[in-house]
Amino acid sequence: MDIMRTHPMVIIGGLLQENPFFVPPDEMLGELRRRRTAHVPS
Amino acid sequence: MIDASEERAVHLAGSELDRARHVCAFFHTRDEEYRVLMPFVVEGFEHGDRAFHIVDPAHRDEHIERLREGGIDTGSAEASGQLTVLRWEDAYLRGGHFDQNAMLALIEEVLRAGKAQGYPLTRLVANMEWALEDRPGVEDIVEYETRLNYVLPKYNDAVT
Repeated sequence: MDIMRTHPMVIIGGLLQENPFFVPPDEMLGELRRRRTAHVPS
Repeated sequence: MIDASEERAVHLAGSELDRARHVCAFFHTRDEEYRVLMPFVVEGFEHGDRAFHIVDPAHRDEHIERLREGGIDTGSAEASGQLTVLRWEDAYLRGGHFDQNAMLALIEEVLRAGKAQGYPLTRLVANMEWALEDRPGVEDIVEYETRLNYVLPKYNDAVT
């Protein structure tokens, strides 16, 4: 679930934790851009 | 003006929030949601922080009621501007669709205004369940949340 990867902190089970799945914005935007490019019909 | 050294700790869900203050929260029920978030909201009022909430329009009345039950004088807080409770369609879904640029501008404006008005912090609590529905523009939500990570570090405010 991508949305989970955009938050540095997460509350699960009522407890605040650092989010191990967090991806910094430069990296995440790069991934989103690459994905969009990959989906452009040729 | 509040000196940074005087800034008070922000507690959420059993811990003190560090500098990373963009929080994703998952709840099974609304009771659980309020059990976890109310102490954070109440602490904000105790510190004189601004509360900016974005809620499901179907639950706005209940939200206000829950705040009242938590001891918050919602009438005077809304009148003074310390508390703002917007519906999805007044924020994420203005014009009937999600526009990530407009929303990023709104969040930044809210945080800037809070600071300009002298609030030590803004505690922004936004219900995002609309993103689970098939709304126009919802496909931009991941990019929006990512770009929010450029905006939020400029402020000390807490966003859940």
